[in-house]
Amino acid sequence: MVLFEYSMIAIGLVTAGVGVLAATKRRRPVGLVVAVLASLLAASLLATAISRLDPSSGLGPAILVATVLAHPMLVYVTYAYLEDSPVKKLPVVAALFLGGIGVSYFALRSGATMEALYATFPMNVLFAACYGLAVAEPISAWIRLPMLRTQAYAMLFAAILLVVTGPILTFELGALRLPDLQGYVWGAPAIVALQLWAVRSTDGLPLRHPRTKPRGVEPSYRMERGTFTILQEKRPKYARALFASLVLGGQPGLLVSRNAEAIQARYRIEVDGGALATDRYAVLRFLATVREFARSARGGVIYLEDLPEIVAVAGMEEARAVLSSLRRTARTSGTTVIVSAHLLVPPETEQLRRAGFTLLGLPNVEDEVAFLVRSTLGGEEYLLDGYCDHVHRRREDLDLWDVPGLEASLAESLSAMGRVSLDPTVLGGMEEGVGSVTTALQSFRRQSLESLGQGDWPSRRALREPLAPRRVPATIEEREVLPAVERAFVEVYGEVGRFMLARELAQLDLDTRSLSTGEVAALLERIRSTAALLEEAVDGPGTVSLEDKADLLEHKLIQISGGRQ
Amino acid sequence: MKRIRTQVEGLDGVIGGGLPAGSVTLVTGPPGTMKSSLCYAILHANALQGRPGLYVSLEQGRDSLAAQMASLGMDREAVRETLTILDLSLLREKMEQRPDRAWMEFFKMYTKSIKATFPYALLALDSLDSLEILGRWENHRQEFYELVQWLRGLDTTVLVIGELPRESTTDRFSKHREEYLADGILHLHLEKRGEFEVQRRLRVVKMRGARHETRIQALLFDDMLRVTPIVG
Repeated sequence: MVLFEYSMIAIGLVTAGVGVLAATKRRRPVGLVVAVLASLLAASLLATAISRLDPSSGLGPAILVATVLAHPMLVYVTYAYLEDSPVKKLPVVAALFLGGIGVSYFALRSGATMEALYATFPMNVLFAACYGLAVAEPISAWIRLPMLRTQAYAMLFAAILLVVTGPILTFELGALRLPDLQGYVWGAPAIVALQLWAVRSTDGLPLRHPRTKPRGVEPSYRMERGTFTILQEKRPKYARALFASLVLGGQPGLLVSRNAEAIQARYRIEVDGGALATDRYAVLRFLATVREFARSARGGVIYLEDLPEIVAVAGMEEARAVLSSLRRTARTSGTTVIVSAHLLVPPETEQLRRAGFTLLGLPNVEDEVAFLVRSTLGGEEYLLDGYCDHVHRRREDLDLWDVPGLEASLAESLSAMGRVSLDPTVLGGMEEGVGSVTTALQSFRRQSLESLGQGDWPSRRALREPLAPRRVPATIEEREVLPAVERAFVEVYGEVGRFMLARELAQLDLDTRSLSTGEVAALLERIRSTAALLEEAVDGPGTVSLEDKADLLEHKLIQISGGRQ
Repeated sequence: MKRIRTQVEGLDGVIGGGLPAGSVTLVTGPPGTMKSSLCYAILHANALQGRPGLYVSLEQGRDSLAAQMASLGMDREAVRETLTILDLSLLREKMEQRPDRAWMEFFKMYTKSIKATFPYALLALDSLDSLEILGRWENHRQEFYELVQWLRGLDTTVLVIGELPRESTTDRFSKHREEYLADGILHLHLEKRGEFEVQRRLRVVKMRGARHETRIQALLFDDMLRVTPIVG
């Protein structure tokens, strides 16, 4: 009978271990159920065995005693070093068991009782600490105390370990002469349930559900409720504009971005949100926030800009799972979800595509606006930079919200020119140019996401048109020499060669558009000093290769200059 | 997988036997955590064993670097034939025009050219932040991704130093989330102990292809750099 009980205990413990492993891997819910049931089985049989304990019968009782003695230590180990996964702690747990068996064996042989052993320091103190932690943790989760909430999974593991070994706990309470607390054991499932709730729902971003009053002056985009969209662009301008547009249309918003405050200030909207905490529970917290938002704000809009953060913190697989979960949330709750993939690198976006996600490619507003200004009016560097200086914004931050301001700025520039220029022909031409650029900008601003997603961008449309003729070199000599010199520099120094040549031309005060063979001879004279400058940066072996490069360039330039040195 | 031993006492055990050959490892941390010293020590110790290395400095001049390392017991003369220092800060000083984005090309041109005649097995880049500022990176992750791809093509083991702000938390390993792209991350930080003492600490956050230790270790310098478990 005793052998049967020991076998059942062993089976129960092994099954519990497997369940814990499963819980920490993929099949978390299944694993947790297996772990709880198996541990309950093992623990109740263990308690039965303890009650029949005969200290003189050898190693078997020692194992049982060790289990009891190690129990609070095991709970403590799961709490300590919270950054490690429970699986990594298994060797420590095993070591504690084996050490305990040895100690218990000799203690029992020398006549000590288990009660006496257990009530001795530090076991009693450890027990009190464990008991306190198990009770305090669900309470902290309930009141959302941040320090403990961040370790939800580790604490869940510890709580399960503590409560499923309830019969042992009963013995411990008896040994410490606290039998009144034994009723706690029956509250064990409630503790686990609370912990599960804590894992699932705590640590989300706080939601206040503010509403933004519609203004109706900005570009207006519409999306059907329950739509899930991933936008791919150089900077998340359309994604932000789309989100702001929907919020201004009356939908409550959740914005998850490192730049949440700046985005709200820029588009003058008020929404819930903030940055993702960048720890191992970032995904957990984000999904908890999404769940809570979808439940409490029906028909809302979620904008996730921090997808790269999730990729960085949790990896691509978790990021894919997050996107799947968002897609499911959109479908089931009618929430609109917008995700920006702007910082993902090509292999990452490719992985998403292979996983069945559609990425809607959109143009870079700054490039398109610059293109429109350049192709209709010219001088986009001057005009755009003038506008950016005026509004104290960087050129790369230009978005569709800037279009009305840019139109006003162009009209103002035209009026300023009218005050100084007396030639009505020039003014008329300028006026026409400003009119064309305004029309083009407005037309671009009104383009729907669908047409943009299909690649109908101004710059792409224009590629089909003939290119403007380029300046023809004045002489045959000019046309041949400069490209040949540039090619020589690039062949020898790679892309650095272009900079080196530009530097040499500037030093010699030569024309950067044309070069004569005589001027190549002047360049030759400087090659050695330039090579010396490059070599000066290297201290140690390795300078030889730079000398070889200088020789090679010299040889090539001599050839181009027709032997003139 | 072939490994390059760092030769820093205690570090090889922590990173699973050495740096995986051909890997790109980020060494990150706030100022004063001895990132440069650790990287230089790895290159110096390997150079003493005959394994050639290239240390690329974009901010600290080579004389200052050599003096600093000499004060830590690493004599430049002992490794003159096996350790090359590329001092791009000197070039920056002497160039009348600012190359701006061409800095990346300068870095690539030098590292590739030097490799042709001096086949170094270890390369340290000090620092990513300087390269990022000088090269006027716009999309940091994209540029870093391309840099890592390029470095992998060099067929050498690379250490890239990344600065973190002093107030950065211990779970933030890079400024722009580059950690996903690197093969390994050694994160250094300062830990206050008591009222007056501060200890340098090292954590191996990741090391692809290695069974590394995840516990935080102490990085100590008495007469040499060494990594030890934290006691107490």
